[in-house]
Amino acid sequence: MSRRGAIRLLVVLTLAGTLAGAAVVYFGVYNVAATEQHTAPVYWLLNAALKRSVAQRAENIDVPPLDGRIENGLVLYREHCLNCHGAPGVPPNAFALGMTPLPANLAHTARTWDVRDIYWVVRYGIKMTGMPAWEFRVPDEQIWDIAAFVAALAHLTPREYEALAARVGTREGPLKPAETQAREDAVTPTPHPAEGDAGRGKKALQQYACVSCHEIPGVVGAIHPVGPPLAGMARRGFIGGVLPNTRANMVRWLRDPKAVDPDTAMPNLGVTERDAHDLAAFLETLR
Amino acid sequence: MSRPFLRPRCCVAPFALCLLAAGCGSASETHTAGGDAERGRELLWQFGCGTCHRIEGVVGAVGEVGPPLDGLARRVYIAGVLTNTPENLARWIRMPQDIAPKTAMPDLGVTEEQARDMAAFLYLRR
Amino acid sequence: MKRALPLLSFGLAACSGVQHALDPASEESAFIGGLSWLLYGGATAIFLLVMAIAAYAVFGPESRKRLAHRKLIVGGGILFPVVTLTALMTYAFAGAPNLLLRGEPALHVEVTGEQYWWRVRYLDENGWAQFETANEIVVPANRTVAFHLRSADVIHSFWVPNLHGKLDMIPGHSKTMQVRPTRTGVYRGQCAEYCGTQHAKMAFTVEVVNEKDFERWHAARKATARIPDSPLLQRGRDVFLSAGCGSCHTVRGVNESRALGPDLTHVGSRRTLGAGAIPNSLGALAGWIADSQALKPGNRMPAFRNLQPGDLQAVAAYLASLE
Ligand code: HEC
Ligand code: HEC
Ligand code: HEC
Ligand SMILES: [Cu+2]
Repeated sequence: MSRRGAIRLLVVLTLAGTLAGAAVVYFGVYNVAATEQHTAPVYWLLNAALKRSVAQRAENIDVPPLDGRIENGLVLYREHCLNCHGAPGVPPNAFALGMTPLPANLAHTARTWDVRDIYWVVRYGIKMTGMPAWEFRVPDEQIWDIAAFVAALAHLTPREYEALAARVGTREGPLKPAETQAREDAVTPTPHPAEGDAGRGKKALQQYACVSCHEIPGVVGAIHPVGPPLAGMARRGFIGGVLPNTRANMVRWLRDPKAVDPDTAMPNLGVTERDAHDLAAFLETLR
Repeated sequence: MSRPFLRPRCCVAPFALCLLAAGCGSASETHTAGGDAERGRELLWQFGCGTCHRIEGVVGAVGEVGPPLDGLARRVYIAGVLTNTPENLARWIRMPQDIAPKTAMPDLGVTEEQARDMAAFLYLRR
Repeated sequence: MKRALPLLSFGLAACSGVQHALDPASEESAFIGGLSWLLYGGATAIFLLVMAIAAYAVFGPESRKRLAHRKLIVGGGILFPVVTLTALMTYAFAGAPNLLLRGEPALHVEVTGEQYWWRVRYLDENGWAQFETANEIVVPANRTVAFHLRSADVIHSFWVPNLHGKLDMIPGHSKTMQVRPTRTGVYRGQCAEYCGTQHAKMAFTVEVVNEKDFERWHAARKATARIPDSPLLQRGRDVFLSAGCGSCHTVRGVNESRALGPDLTHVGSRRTLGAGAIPNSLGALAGWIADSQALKPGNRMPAFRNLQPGDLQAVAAYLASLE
């Protein structure tokens, strides 16, 4: 091929690419609904980009001494972060469950991220995720308090967290146990077939933050092993190690794990009866 | 109890081979979390852990009663109630009933040293 | 070097003695083993000789022409095989009675192949069962033992290589195998006729012990089950009955069952569960009861997935206590 031919081909390809891109945008091919997770390649790309971006920028931050910051960090965390991220055994607020991407489970982040990265993310936020920047709202010293507390989440059981919170108290006063109560059926239960709808259940995994705590085969973004993996859940003998694995028990567990085992790190997520059946129907497909 | 007759050793050998070939068996790595992983693997088999849990690398460990233990090292919580550290894992193995009285996992009379060895092996399963 | 070790042990495993026809532990297998060695040795010698002659015929000096001599061809090609094989046959036939029934056995054990385990009954001199157990047989050394082999369903084959050859177990037939063990030890047996999905996990052991140990063992096995002496064990016995285990399993002194599964009167002292499938321990008992179908898929015991954790622990502890 002559040099001119090559250039012509290049121009044509570029034009075609641009047009195709414009068409995807114009015809609204990519679904922006928060109920739809990204496709697997897009999820992977965004996730990798986020990690690299944070790691690059946080690399050279000097870490001040972190001792003695946890208690103050806890107070600030409860004030600013709990709503979205939850805490050991404590669910996030209902609105946060509807976000895509879901606010991460920070106990897992604490095990996998450097404290510099945590500090950086809290300070500067993350574009297009809903993670706010706190630079203009919280003084730097306090951001370090928060970062120290988040790092400590890796070694805080639900019970220890509760004890610490009760001891430290909030600005308004001591911790009220009401905070850990289940948000019962905010959505009015609708009649549903008792067998449950596995397809809808798969979507609900995203909407109840299950994906932020469990590895689940075939579900994009479910790559955070906070609790046990759910692959093969249909065959597992016990739920949470205590309930024989039947449909009724699964619904009971999903709706109120804390009632089954008060110490468990799986929070009450306010799952409705119908959604619990759909989730259970999906889990029954995981053989 | 010695049980050479239970299963000819040749069944174990290919697993050992895979382990070594995968490079998991180098001397430094078998001693993690203050225990001997190779001994841990033998103990996981003897105590019958594999009858309730899936554990890659342990002969016959295809149980489905409790959660699988592959990838345990990356998990945040053990049994949903303890944070995941080698000490906590060894503690759970020794006395699950004391930590979670309602759990289906029985207290098998594992000694402290045995628990550390098992934990060492489980921490190789990333 | 380190990587070579497992390979080495792989090779050596072939010579370990617990399930090995060339490591005899009875008079019968000694004869079979001797015959085998004779065959291997003779065949090797003849093979080497033939190869040497062939090499001589192809590469040898001029004198090799003598090989084409008629006498040599008739002698080596016809006479030698006839004589050798006849001698071998005579030796084998002469020895064969060693493998058949001879004299009055000191002990009668009935072994029934079932999908996928072995029912074992010790019989008295009149042929009545003294007690039943499963998957583990204990016999005294230097006494003649008769194994009466039957099948409850399909064809199985009873094979303990250290003690004797194989003998098929055919439904509707009873065959007898006589063994006179000479060496104490634990020997592994294996079903040797494909009988279904879990044929491979249908193993058993024969333990040869001295006379005194055998008497002790026999008396202990004849006894009824240990009485539970703690709240946990009592609960375990109650669960055993209420969960329906008792419809298939017998614990002598506690219940009578249809005996569709192994007798569990002394299951706590067994080395393995599920006919050699897994080593026996408290944990293994719990795992087996909760989901034996994951461990030995297709075996005839249902998975008990509806037991509450406390009940599971109790029944496992109870069975473990039945030594
Ligand atoms: C409005 C909800 C919201 C609030 C409030 C919030 N976050 Fe976030 N946070 C998010 C979202 C959404 C993400 C993105 C998760 C992702 O993409 O993985 C995120 C990500 C993070 C991450 C990165 C975690 C990871 O593994 O990817 C950290 C660390 C973090 N937040 C810490 C905090 C802290 C500390 C606070 C309180 C000062 C806080 N966040 C407040 C929503 C929130
Ligand atoms: C904050 C993290 C978190 C969230 C969110 C979460 N889980 Fe869990 N989950 C856990 C932990 C930790 C356990 C282990 C609990 C235990 O053993 O006590 C668990 C246990 C389970 C189990 C039992 C697994 C087993 O092997 O015993 C199932 C099933 C389950 N979760 C399903 C879900 C579903 C469905 C959702 C969404 C509605 C969900 N989880 C949300 C943390 C979480
Ligand atoms: C439908 C009949 C049936 C019921 C009911 C049943 N089992 Fe079994 N069980 C079997 C059979 C058959 C085997 C042999 C399986 C094999 O090895 O292939 C067996 C094997 C066992 C073994 C292993 C014995 C050994 O020596 O290998 C134990 C222990 C056991 N059962 C306990 C129980 C308990 C406890 C229950 C009640 C919770 C129970 N079984 C209920 C049929 C049953
Ligand atoms: Cu068979």
